[in-house]
Amino acid sequence: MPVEIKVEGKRFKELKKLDLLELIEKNLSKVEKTLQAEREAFLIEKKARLEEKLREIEDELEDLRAFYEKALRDKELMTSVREKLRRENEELKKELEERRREIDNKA
Amino acid sequence: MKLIIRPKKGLGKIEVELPDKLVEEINRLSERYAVDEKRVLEIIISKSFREPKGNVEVLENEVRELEKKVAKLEKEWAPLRYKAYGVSEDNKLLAIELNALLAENSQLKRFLGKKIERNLELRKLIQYYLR
Repeated sequence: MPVEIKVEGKRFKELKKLDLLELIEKNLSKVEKTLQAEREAFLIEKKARLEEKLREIEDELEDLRAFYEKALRDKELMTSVREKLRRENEELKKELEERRREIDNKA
Repeated sequence: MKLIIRPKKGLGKIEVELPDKLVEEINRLSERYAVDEKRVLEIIISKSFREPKGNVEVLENEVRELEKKVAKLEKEWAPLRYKAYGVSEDNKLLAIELNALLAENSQLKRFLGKKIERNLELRKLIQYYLR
């Protein structure tokens, strides 16, 4: 299948005067450099996107680690307070029971 | 491979048959840089040449390293999030229990005529996990 390329009128006139095969052959190394430059532009953009993503993940991870560590400390604290309150409430219930008995006995 | 060049406006065309050796070279570039043959020829025909500013290979390596770093952190993020969610759920249940125990404690102390502690910090923590 033929390759068809459209160019501006001015360039078309220039090309008509040139030996196309020679032009293509002589400029292949320049094409390679151009393709490298295009790849470079793509990579520069990709690198910037990745750097931004990396910063975002690092920040999120830092927040998440801080949240996890705080949650672990809170869990330990709340567990110990729960035990303390359970014991204290048991004692208070006994005390209340005792008072009720005393009042009943007096009555 | 036949190459046909036409003007964007107006009539006329230039037709040229490219020899196999040249086609091979064009194909090599097309494969190496993942572009089609038309693009390779377009660059020459439209004289849109450019030069890379730096070392593309170094850039390739930097991008590869960044990709590896991102993947590693993403791997770390998912299980940590799962663990944090688990502890946070445990804390929610603890907060519910503590809320009930504190209410019971206040009521018992009220009956016994004892001083009721306000436990402000603890209540703040409970509210945080009940949210």
